[in-house]
Amino acid sequence: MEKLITDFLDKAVDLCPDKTVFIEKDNKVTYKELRIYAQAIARALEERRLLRKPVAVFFEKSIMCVETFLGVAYSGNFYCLIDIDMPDARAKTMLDALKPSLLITDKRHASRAKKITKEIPILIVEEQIDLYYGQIVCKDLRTSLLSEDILYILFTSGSTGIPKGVITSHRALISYVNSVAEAYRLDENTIIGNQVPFYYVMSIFDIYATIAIRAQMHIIPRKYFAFPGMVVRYIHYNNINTINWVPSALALVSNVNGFKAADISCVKTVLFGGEVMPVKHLNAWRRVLPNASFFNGYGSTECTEASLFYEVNREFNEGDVIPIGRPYSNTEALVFNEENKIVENEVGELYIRSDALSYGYYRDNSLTDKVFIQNPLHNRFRDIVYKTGDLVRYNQYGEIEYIGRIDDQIKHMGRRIALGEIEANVSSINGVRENCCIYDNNKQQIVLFFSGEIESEKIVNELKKTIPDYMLPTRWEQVKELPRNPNGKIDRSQLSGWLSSLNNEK
Amino acid sequence: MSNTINDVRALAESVGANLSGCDNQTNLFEEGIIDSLQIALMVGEIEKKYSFQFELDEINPDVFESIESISAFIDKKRK
Repeated sequence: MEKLITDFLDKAVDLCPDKTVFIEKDNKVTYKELRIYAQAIARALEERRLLRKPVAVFFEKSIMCVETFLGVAYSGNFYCLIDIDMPDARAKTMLDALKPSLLITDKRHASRAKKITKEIPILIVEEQIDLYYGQIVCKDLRTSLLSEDILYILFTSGSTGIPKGVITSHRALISYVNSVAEAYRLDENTIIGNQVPFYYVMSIFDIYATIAIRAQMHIIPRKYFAFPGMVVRYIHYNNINTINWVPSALALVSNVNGFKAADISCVKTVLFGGEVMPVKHLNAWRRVLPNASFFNGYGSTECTEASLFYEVNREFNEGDVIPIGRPYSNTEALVFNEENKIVENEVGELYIRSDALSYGYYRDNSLTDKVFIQNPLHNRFRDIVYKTGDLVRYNQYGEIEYIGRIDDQIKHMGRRIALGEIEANVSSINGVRENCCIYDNNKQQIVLFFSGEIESEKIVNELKKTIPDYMLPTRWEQVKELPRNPNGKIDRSQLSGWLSSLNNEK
Repeated sequence: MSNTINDVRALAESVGANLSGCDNQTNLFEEGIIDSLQIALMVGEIEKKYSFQFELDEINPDVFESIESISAFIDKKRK
């Protein structure tokens, strides 16, 4: 049994040291080299006497970023990725919440890192690898570490305007990778084509399932997704057989029938998740890949990555709902109504029971206690379940279907966004009087209604400094005044009404 | 030519690209002004507005390099 996630890498180095594990544009690394670099980085941290401390990792998506993740893991500390795509202000907010002992970056991003933080010591990864190349951490270190120790913190959108740091342990991730290997029938012949950013939870599958099953992963250059012919040819030439993409990326290809560019019958497994998959695009992919297996994954960062999955096994017509299926083998899905009674024939909230649950939110036990709660079914012993906030129901096949979020959180382009977080950031801009975000489900647009003496362009510019691009509203409506309900709160349902009448005018 | 440029700027902004401080030669993708989803949306908008269809390989980095290159491509297609 593996105790730490790095045990999978050690095993791979024993069994297939010279196999290439990660490939990016002009670079690749074998299992053996991956461990050498990771151990060198771990030595740099060991030398600084850091143990069980948070380490910020400031990188763009790259092999070196993965080497650093694993280096932090070998050293017995835990990492948190601050992606270079994050605006400075958001990066600062994350660093304030994390209070890391160190920040690791590469030469290219060192000056920006220095701009973002004055207090946190910065390590340049290339320099550390040069210094400690070929060295390994003290053998006793592994003995002192536990499966219960934290591996990483991954930030997700929070409703208060402050992102929440979800804490994942080695144990949770080990449980998860074992589940996915079984559910998706993965083995050492698997070649994954990565699309999602590393700060997005779906990448946990790409990185760690690869290492656990001794497979191979390509980081497909981001630019290729803008030009579907390029991504299709990349898959063809590199024999990619497994893809785990957000539906909008799959749609980018099928929208323009990008399949014409090359034969991609090498693809045997298509995983998608993070947002609702449009049936039209699923069908286009299935027509091109009649022999491939298609899986809809459902999950959240709080449960490591995914908890439920559905293998597409019948025809779907437009308007049909693709279920999220059933839980992984070591996971239980519980559906409760508002009276905390298990329901089978009505809509209820999904709770997850699993050893892949995270510890909750970093430095926020009160928020953790709200959603990681005692199993409502009993009080005989401590039995923590995660309250997902998602509404689901069982269909006629006994599969679970996703209905929507209980509160105002939305899934937009594969990412979870709390509309409140956008609103909180808009309110802090000078000149904005009031604002409210509505999600237009049909058009998949975040619509911002606002009032005040300010132009939308100025709000965009200010907003870009504090929130990432994917959270930016896609439509802007300036109004004299926002509608209020009798309690004086902004009336969201009335705003949705305004939105549909605006849509009808056009 | 200049009319097309203004139209393309408006189209790019309508799909969510922020062109403030960006001239007609700025590399849209490298500078992070436009992302893959926005390029896909722009393809659709251009096809609608100018009534032609992109060939798959016309959706490429050279055509979508800048406002100017997109405009030049449209002008060529309309001839």
